[in-house]
Parts: sequence; structure tokens; C-alpha cells
Amino acid sequence: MRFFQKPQLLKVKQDNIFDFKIKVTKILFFIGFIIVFGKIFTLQIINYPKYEKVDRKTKFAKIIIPGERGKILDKNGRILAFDLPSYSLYFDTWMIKNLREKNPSYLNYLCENLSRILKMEKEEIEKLMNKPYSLIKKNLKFEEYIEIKEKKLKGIYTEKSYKRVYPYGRHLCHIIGYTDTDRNGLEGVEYFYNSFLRGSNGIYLVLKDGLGNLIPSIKKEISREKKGKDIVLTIDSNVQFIVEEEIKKGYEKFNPKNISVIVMDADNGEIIALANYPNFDPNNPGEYDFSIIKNKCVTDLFEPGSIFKIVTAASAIEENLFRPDTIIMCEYGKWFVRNHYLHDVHPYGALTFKEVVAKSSNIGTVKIAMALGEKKLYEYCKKFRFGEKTGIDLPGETAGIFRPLYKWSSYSITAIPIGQEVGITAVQGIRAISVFANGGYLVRPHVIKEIKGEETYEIERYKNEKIRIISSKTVEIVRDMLKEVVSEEGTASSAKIEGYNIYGKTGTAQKAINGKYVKGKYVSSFVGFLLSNKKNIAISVNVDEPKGKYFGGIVAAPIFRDILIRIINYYEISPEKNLKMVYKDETKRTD
Amino acid sequence: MKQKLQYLKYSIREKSLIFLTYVLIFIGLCILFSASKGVITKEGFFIKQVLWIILGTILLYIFRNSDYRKLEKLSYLFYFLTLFLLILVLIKGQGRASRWINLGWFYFQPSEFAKLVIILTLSSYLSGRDIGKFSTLLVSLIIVGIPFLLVFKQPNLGTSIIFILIFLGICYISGMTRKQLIGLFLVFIFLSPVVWIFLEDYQRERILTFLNPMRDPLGKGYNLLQSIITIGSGGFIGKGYLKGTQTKLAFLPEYHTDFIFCVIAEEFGFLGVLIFIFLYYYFLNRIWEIICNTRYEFGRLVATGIFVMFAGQFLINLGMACGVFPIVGLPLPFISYGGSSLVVSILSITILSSIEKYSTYL
Repeated sequence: MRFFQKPQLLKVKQDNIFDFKIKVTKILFFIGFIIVFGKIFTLQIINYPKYEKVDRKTKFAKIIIPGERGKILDKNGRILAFDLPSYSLYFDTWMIKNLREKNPSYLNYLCENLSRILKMEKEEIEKLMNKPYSLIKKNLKFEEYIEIKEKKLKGIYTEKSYKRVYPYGRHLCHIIGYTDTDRNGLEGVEYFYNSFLRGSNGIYLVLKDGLGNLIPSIKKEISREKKGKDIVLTIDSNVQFIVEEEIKKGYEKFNPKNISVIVMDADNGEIIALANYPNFDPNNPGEYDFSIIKNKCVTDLFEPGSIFKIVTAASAIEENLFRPDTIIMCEYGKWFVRNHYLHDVHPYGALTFKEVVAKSSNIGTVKIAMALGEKKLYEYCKKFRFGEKTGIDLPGETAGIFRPLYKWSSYSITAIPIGQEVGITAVQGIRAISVFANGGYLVRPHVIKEIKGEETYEIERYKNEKIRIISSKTVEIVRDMLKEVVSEEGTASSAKIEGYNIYGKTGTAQKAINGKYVKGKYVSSFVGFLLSNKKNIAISVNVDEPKGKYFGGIVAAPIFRDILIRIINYYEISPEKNLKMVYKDETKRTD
Repeated sequence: MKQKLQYLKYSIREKSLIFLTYVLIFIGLCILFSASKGVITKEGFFIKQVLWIILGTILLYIFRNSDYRKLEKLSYLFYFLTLFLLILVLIKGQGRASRWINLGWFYFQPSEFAKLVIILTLSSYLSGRDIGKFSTLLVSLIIVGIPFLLVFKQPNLGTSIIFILIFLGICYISGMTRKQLIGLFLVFIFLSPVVWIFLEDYQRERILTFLNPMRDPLGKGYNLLQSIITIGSGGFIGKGYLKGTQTKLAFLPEYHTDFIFCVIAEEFGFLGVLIFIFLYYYFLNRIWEIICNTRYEFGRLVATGIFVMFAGQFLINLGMACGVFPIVGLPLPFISYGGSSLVVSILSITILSSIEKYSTYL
């Protein structure tokens, strides 16, 4: 066959056709080169910014490391709220992949160690290691975390997260409030001082591979996480415990809708204790209705009733209209004025001014107010800042109802002096009474003592906000009247503590629903204060809809007394006139 | 003295082809080192590649002085051996694309050898024959056609395309008439729908993706898009040796074989690519000189075939990395990881240097 027997041929073909063909081939390949080269030039030079951006974007993932939230402490440094760190353990999938290539025996070592520390099966950990997602264990125990950190194992990393914890549970819940799952405050101090408490998050760029796995070993810091500032409250946790215990007792006794108590340092407006009952557990706020969660001391209004008579009386004295011993005719319990009848609970004849206040005569008070005139009464009420927010540093405060003068009806002058047509919050009530405790100054109630942090500073502005609204002479006269209330002849004899200067005023207001007074629904209240050489303490007690008895002097005043006795013991306030401190036993009696 | 100088010049010229080859191999090794994340392991492809280089060098050393003209007859033997291996690979192939024969610790890829064998066989057949005759053209078509179909069936589209290029290149230089060229072109047009039917699904997808890369950016178009981003992100000076991230962070698959060019482009930037392309161009130009200088028709045709093989692979590989050619899967000679490809490339260089040696004197 010729096919295999072809002789060696030597053929010289240096002709023109060959030259042409060789040129054509060369040009064809050269064109190919130019096309490829041009394309690469476009990619790398002209479109470089575009691809560089894509490259950077797809390669880095932003991770956020939460900053620790500040603690909330009470006056004595007791921690009321803090961030509990928890650690989750992850595989560094990228490193694992590298280790598998470089040092497979290390992986075995890693698995053995992890199974020993976490008390998991080794096979289980190996299985997890081969999975695309990298979580090994959530919420490591502290000793597990420490051991893993000490071992300095490669190929794993921990992620820190926080949980807000309230170690005392329901204790102080309405002051502290609570946070959402992102640890942002939703109520109370947590909400009001959220910007101080909240730490700033740390932001890091982490390299990411093509499969979306993060490579935490290569981390670029953009901003470091920062701890929030600690907040110290004016609250004395011990007093708060006393208050909470006593209102729980009161709640069981009278079974009302709600009891609110505020204990305040009358001289500077520091709230020492504030409690509502029923209360909630800030660790699981979701289980409670908002009507329980909200702080009724600042959000809810009540008609002050007879409490408001103090304001009327103080105004009349300040205007020099009456002396304490001026006789006022109380019309034997029934008086027709401004087209309607005004009643007293107990009918009285002629009473002195002092007795009008002590026995809480409506008719007597209205007579005083009418002598004073609507304009003057309005001015004095405005001095006490009714109808305005107190500016307490708690969220959700309402201003209250106190209508401007031009909206008053002819009937108003017979209602407002005895605390009707007026709506106040408990905080407004305690601020009004503390005027007489501190000698005539309107203070600013507040719950925060200082914000600790990198720079410590005190909340001076709250302390210094003190306005004189009543002369000290008037204060003396009103105090005298308020002392009479707590005496045997007054409406609140049950609030009396032998040997101590206790002052106060009861209030019993029928509840108005949709503009009409409802029978059988009352708000019983008592506001009072203790004057001593150590501390001037004002206390307000509001009992909403007590069952059975409803007079302030019977419902609210005993709670006031029980709380005050224990506070006296706690602060070790010695009695006047060198009386012995017998009230340690008295507490047992009230139990 | 003059004679001595001329001899020196000649010997430098003679050695320059092999020297250039080893420069390219060295560059390839550096890139592979970077692609293996700068770590050398027993199982990694870097060590294997070094072993293949050593094997290739031994072969080069053994055959450095032998006469390539012996291959003119031997080529038919190789041809049938290759056909046998290609059939074997189809029967007991490895992987989805059955291209490899498992030989213990390495895989042997007969289609790589088929390239060289086709060059030799076709050149051997055409030297001394007039391709103008229809019968000659038909036999040439059959010589290339059988391995072409076997490789196409594997499926290995990239190598099939190289077969076509080799066929066209050798026939054209051998003296194909214009009429024949036009005829072949018409046949190709007529056959292309048929070829489309015989293509594997994924190959069709690749070609469609090539026509529109954003068709499926996370699926079929992913390779191309990532490859383009990798090249583009290199910029003018690149990210620096061993500092490329796209390739190492598993964004780009096949970065050590078909897309090895992306590593160069990413780490050395446009400047590096410029130097690299220039080097390769100079290397191909050196082969071109051999084509022009050799007086034996067989030698000339073989050199042409080898030139087309290298140039075609180089252009198609770069073209598919930067998106001007569909992704067909071809190694970049001397640079990509792959034993068979490397050994065949070194053998081709051995033959070329032999052609140069025996070109000028009778």
C-alpha cells in the first residue's frame, strides 16, 4: 500500500503562495491577540473601578458586635439591672478547610478537646464540622467558655451577645422598666435614659469566601464596641422593699384595682421609693398587660378630693384672709350654693378654720375659696403647677387636668377647692405636699442620682430646681392644720405615730367615668410627711377602688403609717421629746 | 573567529526555544504556588506538577538529539494507539466528562496526546501529497475526524476545537485551494445545527451564557462573571503576589487549571499580563521562525500544527477567561496544572527543536 510506503520526500516550497498563506495565518492569530488583549485592557484599566468595587463588596461582610448596656444601680450600689454576657461557639470554616489541607491531625485534636469540654459526642462534633453552617453551641456555660479560651484552640471562635437581666425580678419594675430583645429600653429608666445606658455597637469588616463563609481570623475594625454608662438611682432599694411589702399587704386587705405609693425626700425631690401593685416581672414583660406595666404614679390621673383642700387653705392664709382660729359656719352638712346643694359627710356647725381642714369639711372649704375668689384660687393652683408635667425623669408622664380660668363654670368655685374637676398624678400630689414639708419650695421629683461612665457627673440640675411658692409663715400655719388631721380629732388619726412629727391629709374621691360620678367607686388617698432632724420624708398613698371601706383615713392612712414606721426604723430616726423607739414592736402589731 | 561567533549565535538561537519554554514553565510554577495558597502539601497539585516537569525534562533530554523524521512513519502506529486509548477512555472514563484514565496515583488524559499524534499523522500523510485532490482531502478529514468524534463524545469541546484548528492550519499551509476552503466552510455552516444537537446540555448552556453572561449570574454564568471580576479587580499593578483574594477565597472555581490566567491577572495586574502576553507572543514567534526556516515539508507541517496547537490554546484560554470566547475548558500550555498537557507540550518543544536542528542541512 502506498499509504505506508511513502518515500522520504524533500520538497522546497518557498514560493509566493506559501508566503501569502503564512502571512494570512499570522495576521489571523495577530487579530486574535489584539481582541484578547483589548478585552483585558477594558477589564483591567477602563472598568477597573467597577470590578474593584464588586470585588470589595462581595468579599467583606459587616458584622456588628453589641456593646454592653450600662448597669442600673440603686443609691447603695445594689445592681438592679445588668447585661449578662453569653457566648456562642462557631467553627471558623475557612480555617478548618485550611487545616484539613495542612494539618489534618490537628482537627482530630480539636474535636477531641471540644467533645471533652462541651461534653458532646466526638462524632457529633465531626459531623457539625463538615456542615456548611458553623454554629457548634449556643449559650456556652461560663466554665466552658473559660476553658476554651485557655486552650487557645485554632479553627473556632466565639461570639459574644448580651441578655438584659433584672436580678430582683419584680422589685422596682415600674422605675427600671424593661428592654426589648435588642436591649433598647421600652419603659421606665431603661427608656428615659436609653441613650446613656446603651453601649455603642462595634462594627467590623470580616472577609468572606465565595461560599459565603466568614473568615473571622481576618477582621478589620471600623469602630470598637463601647460600654454604656451606668446609672445610679435615688431609689433606696431597702425602702423600696418596705413599700412593696406593705402595699402588697394593703392590696390583700382592701383588694383594690391598684395601689400606688411614692416616698420622696421632700427637701430635694429625690424619689426614695416608688411602687405600684399589681406589678410585673421585667424579665418577661410580654406576659403582662400594659395596664400593669405602665407606671400609674406618673401616667394615671385621679381626682385629689380633699387633698386639694390644703392648696385652698394655704392660699387663703397666704392672702391673709383667715386666721387658723377664724370661725366658719359649716351649715350643718347641707348648703345651697350656686344652684345646687353641697354636702358634708359629717354635718358640722361652726368650726374654726383649723378644724375645717382637720375634719375636711367641704362646705367650710368652699366658703373659704369663695372668700378668696376664683382668680386668686386659680393663681395659687398654678403656683403649685397643677395641670403641668412635673418633669420627673420617667416616661409617659401626663400633665393632669386643671382647666384655665376662662373655662371655669360658675359651679367650678364650689368644686375645685375640694378637689373635684381636677385631675392630678400621684407625683403631682407628693410634690404639692412636700412644699409644706420643706418650708415652701416646689421641688422637682427625680429618680436619678448620677450617670456613671468615663466622666462621672451628678444630676445637679434636678437638685437645684427649687422654687419658693409659699412663705414660711404660711407653711407653719398649714403644718399646724395638717398635724391636726393626724390627731385624734382629725380624719387620719390612724396615721399617727407617737413621738414623731407626722403631717398629712386624706382624700376620698368618687371616681368619674365618662363625666359622671360612679357610686361605689372611690380613690382613697393620703399624702403626708414626716419632719425630723435627719430627713423630711413625704409619702403619698393612692388606693384605686378599694372594696368595702373607702375613706382615705381608713384605707390609705394605715398603709402610710405602716410604711413610715418601718422607714423610721430603717433610717433610725429618733423620736422627738426623747421618747423611746417603741415602734419596732408596733410594726408587729400592724401585721 | 567569525565562524566561532556565528556558531555561538546559532547555538543561542537554537537554545532560546527551550529556554523560553522553561521560563514559561517557571512562571507557571510560581502561579501554581500562589494558587495553592502558598502552601506545599504532599497531596497538592504543586508537587505533582513538579514531578510532571521532571518527567517532561527527562523525555526532552533523552530525545534532544534524535531525528524527528523517524516519526513520519511511526506516527501511524501512534495514531492507532491513540484511537485505542480514546475508545478506552470512553468506555472506562472518570467523572462526568470522561477524559481521564486512572493510572494509580495520576490520571492520564489521552486527548492531550491525541493533539500531537494528529499533528504528526496528518503532516506525515500530507507531506508529498497534493491536497488539491479531493481524495487526499477526504482521507485527511477522516484522519482528524475519527479522534475528533471520539473526543467530542467525551465530551471535550475545547480539545475538539483545537483538532479543527490543527486540521485547518496544516491543510491550509499544505496547499489547500480556495475552492476547498469555501467548500469546507459551507459544510461547517450546514453541519453546525447538527453539532448543536449533539452538544451536551451544559455545553449549550455555556455557549448561551457566553452570548449573554447575565442570563444566570449565580448558576451557569457564575464562572464567567467571577472570572471577569477577578481579572478586572487586578487593575493596573495587581494585588501582589500571593495576595489575590478572588482566586483563593473560592470565588473562582478551576483557578488552577482552566482559569489560571485569572490568578496572573489578579495578582500582577495589567502590567503582569502585558509582560506575560509579550513572552508568550515571543515564544510563538520563535515557532513561527521554525516554520519559515525548515525545508522539509513534513517538518514544516508538524511545526505549523504545533504552532496552531499552542496559539489556539493560548488564545482560547485567555479568551474564555476574559469573556470573548465561550467557556470550553482548555488548559493554558505550560501554566495550567495538568500532567498530560505539560508532557505533551514539552514533547512538542522537543520535536520543534529537532525540526530546527534538521531544517537547514540535508
